[in-house]
Amino acid sequence: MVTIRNYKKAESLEEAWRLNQQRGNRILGGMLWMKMGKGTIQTAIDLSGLGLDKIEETPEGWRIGCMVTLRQLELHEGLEKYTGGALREALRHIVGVQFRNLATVGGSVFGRFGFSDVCTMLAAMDSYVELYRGMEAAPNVEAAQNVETAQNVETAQHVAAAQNVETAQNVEAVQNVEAAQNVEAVQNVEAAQNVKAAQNMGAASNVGMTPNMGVVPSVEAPQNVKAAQRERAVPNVGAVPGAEVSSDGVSVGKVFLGGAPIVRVPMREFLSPGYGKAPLSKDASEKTAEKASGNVAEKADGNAAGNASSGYDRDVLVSVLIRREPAAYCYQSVRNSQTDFPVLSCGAAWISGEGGHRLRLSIGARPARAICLESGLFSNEMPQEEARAFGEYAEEHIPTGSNLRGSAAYRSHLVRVLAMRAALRLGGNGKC
Amino acid sequence: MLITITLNHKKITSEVSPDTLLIDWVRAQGCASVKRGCETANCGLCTVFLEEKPVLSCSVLAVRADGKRVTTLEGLQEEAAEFGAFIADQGAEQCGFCNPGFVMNALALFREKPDPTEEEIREYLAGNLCRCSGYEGQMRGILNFLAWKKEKKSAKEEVR
Ligand SMILES: Cc1cc2nc3c(=O)[nH]c(=O)nc-3n(C[C@H](O)[C@H](O)[C@H](O)COP(=O)(O)OP(=O)(O)OC[C@H]3O[C@@H](n4cnc5c(N)ncnc54)[C@H](O)[C@@H]3O)c2cc1C
Ligand code: FES
Ligand code: FES
Repeated sequence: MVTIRNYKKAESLEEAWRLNQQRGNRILGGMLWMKMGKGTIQTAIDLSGLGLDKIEETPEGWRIGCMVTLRQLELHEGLEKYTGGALREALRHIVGVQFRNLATVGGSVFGRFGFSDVCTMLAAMDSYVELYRGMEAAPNVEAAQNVETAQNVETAQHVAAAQNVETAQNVEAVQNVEAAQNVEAVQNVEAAQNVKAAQNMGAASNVGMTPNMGVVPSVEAPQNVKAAQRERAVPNVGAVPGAEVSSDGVSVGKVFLGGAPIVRVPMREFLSPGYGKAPLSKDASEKTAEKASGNVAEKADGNAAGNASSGYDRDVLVSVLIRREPAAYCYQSVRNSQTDFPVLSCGAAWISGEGGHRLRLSIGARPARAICLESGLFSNEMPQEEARAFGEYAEEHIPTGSNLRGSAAYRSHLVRVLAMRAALRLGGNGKC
Repeated sequence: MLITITLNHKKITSEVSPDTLLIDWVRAQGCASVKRGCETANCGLCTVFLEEKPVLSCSVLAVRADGKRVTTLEGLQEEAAEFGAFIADQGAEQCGFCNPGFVMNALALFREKPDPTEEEIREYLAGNLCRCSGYEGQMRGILNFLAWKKEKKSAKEEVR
């Protein structure tokens, strides 16, 4: 059990954020993971007085406050219906009801645990993390990205590359919109450009490995794949509003919610290895996965003038946004025994668009953090052979590792089977 | 820090340190049914109701329960005895260590879902570990209890 010197129920996000900039202070989620750690917390910051325990339906989808419990999320009727039960399936195996009545969405996402069913499922959806004053750590992104590229850390490079490309496109679009705005915006653009440059570098060095950028062979050939990607970039990028305009839209980057300065980051980017390091991570499997980002964080530290510890990890996660998309979802996990951590977790989305469907696959508990693959276009039905090919592609391209719950070989086999089942369940005739 | 908790319908004000856990606080108030069975938030033995929800008291700071209602098995004697008899009938209670947490969570289940299916029972009680039984006795006991309650209810309705 950790030792806690002081306890502070924050009266505003600003207060929570300020307190959280001091090394030794920590935000409390449900405290389930944190409790298992050792050491001393100077001030435990409690966000439970800020009304962040609500799931709010917005025109785009749902905003889930960081203090919403996993049980609340599991029982939410709108999300249950929207995901066809997939979200509930992702949550119901996590320890027990009494546990899920405490564990929070904020702690689960901010922790970015490799084994996380929550992160695996959210990564399969069109979801975003909303961080209070997160942009103030933006210069670190560049450092983070460079270090990542230089070290070429995770073997998940091709997938990461695909993500980077997507992000780069978003950033570019954001840039165009912002370019016409005020001085503050110009600074952001500068940051964004750096990010973009860094990302392009990262992407470029990896493209050779996977010319399709994480796109599986599908009924239609690469041109369509490209079209699909272009299409994909668009819905993520709304207009970034001017500084005073409050926005509920799904633009990434800096936005204002109820007057609070928030930075919105796509979930898959937030989970990518270079983004931040998992706090209080004790899981051995996690350590390997996090080693890279650990280095990154140290580097970033040096740049973060006045910021304690690692830039991004001093942020306050305010909410998670789930954006409605024309998709069907499914979730599967394999566990050695009920309520244990998953050996492998798999979320999938079957997204309808012009000319057909795309499959988005999210694999977590590899044992490292969830990563995603996105397919090209499939016609309306997924033939058995295509589903098998998709499974094989996923097995080949999603890196796995060993820990005491399963070997890399076993996990890779599971990737194939679960990916194929997801394809059949969502796109096929239901038989699998 | 000074906190006030309504424990089993009784308002109690006391001084705690910031990291006092709810489990240790309720035990200090004499609620010895609440026990610690693990260090990893896994076993369910420490289950109490915080307001109306079952939670792991080993993982809640006492300060976070300030101003709230906490209920332990001691506050649910009648309900617990009624249900417990059905579990004992099946010999499902062996060493009995898991029992308080199990009974608390089963009562929470009945409140939330008065007529659960077997699958729902299994799912709701998955976070209550028992190292002696194979859970089958508990399942039989629960099903018998639910059948008995149903009978009692329909008998009442007939009388009316
Ligand atoms: C025994 C055990 C088994 C588990 N099994 C599973 C499983 O099978 N599947 C699964 O998906 N998960 C599992 N988990 C993880 C669990 O679901 C939660 O994700 C985890 O406990 C973190 O959530 P929390 O609310 O307890 O956060 P905490 O432990 O309180 O916090 C975790 C970290 O996030 C930080 N933090 C919390 N909230 C915020 C915020 N709003 N802003 C910024 N930082 C914040 C904290 O400072 C801390 O560093 C398990 C956990 C335990 C302890
Ligand atoms: S003591 Fe085991 S879950 Fe609380
Ligand atoms: S009866 Fe012994 S642990 Fe359940």
